Amino acid sequence: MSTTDGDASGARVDRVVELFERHADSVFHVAWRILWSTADAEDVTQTTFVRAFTRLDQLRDDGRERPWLLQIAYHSALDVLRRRRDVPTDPAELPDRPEGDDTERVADRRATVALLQAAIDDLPGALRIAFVLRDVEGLSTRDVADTLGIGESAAKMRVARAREQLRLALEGVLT
Amino acid sequence: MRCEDVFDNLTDLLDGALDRESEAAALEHLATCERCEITLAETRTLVELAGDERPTRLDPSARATLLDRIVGEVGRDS
Ligand SMILES: [Zn+2]
Repeated sequence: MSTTDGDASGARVDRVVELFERHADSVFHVAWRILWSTADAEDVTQTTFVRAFTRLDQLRDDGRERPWLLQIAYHSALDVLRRRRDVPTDPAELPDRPEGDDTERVADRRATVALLQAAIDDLPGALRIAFVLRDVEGLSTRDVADTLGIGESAAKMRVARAREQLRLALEGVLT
Repeated sequence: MRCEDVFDNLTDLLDGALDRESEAAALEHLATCERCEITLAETRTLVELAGDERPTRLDPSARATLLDRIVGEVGRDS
C-alpha cells in the first residue's frame, strides 16, 4: 500500500466508511445468524470492513458490493467458529441457537414474526444462512450463490428447502 | 402440471423466475387445485414476513464504536 499518496488512501478510507454506513447492519446480521453472539458478531463486522479495505481493488462493480461484503463476513464468521470449536467447519454444522424458547401460536403479525424468527433459528445451518441472505436480506439467488461460494442451482435448492421447512413449521399461522 | 411439478417450481414461481410457458402451466394448475394454492399463498406470506423480519441490527452506540475502530485500524495501515 502506498504511503506517499495520502489523497488516494484517504479516498479508500472514505470508501470503507461509505460501505459501512450502507451495509454494516447486513454484515452484522449475517454474522449474528452464524455465531449467535452480539460481541462476536460485532468483532466479525469490524474484521469484515478491515478486510474489505485491504481488498478494495477486488471490488470493481458497485452493484456487487453487498454480496462481496457478505462473503467476507461469512468467511470471517466461519473463522471465528473454527477458532471457537477448533474443528473444521462445514456450513451444515453451524451451531444451533443455544437457548430455545417456546412461543405461543398467536395469529397476530408480530407474534407470527416471532414464530418465524424461532423457526429460522431452528433451521439447519446451511439452509438458515441461505434463507436469511435470500429472503431476509433480499439478495438475488445469484448473489446468495456468490456469497456462499456455491452454484446457483445449489443456492436455489437451499432456499427452496428452507422455505418449505419454515412453511411447515408455521403451518396454520401463515394463512 | 401436476401438484409435485408445481411444488418443485414454487420458489421460481414466487421469484418470477419461471419461463412464460411453465408459469402459465403452474397458474392453470393453481386455479383448480386448492392444496397447491394454499401452499403458494403460505409460502408467499412467509417470504413477505421474512422481508420484514430484521431483528438483529447493530446497536447505534456499537455502530459508532465499530466505525471508529475500523477507521482507526485502516487509517493506520494506509
Ligand atoms: Zn396441486
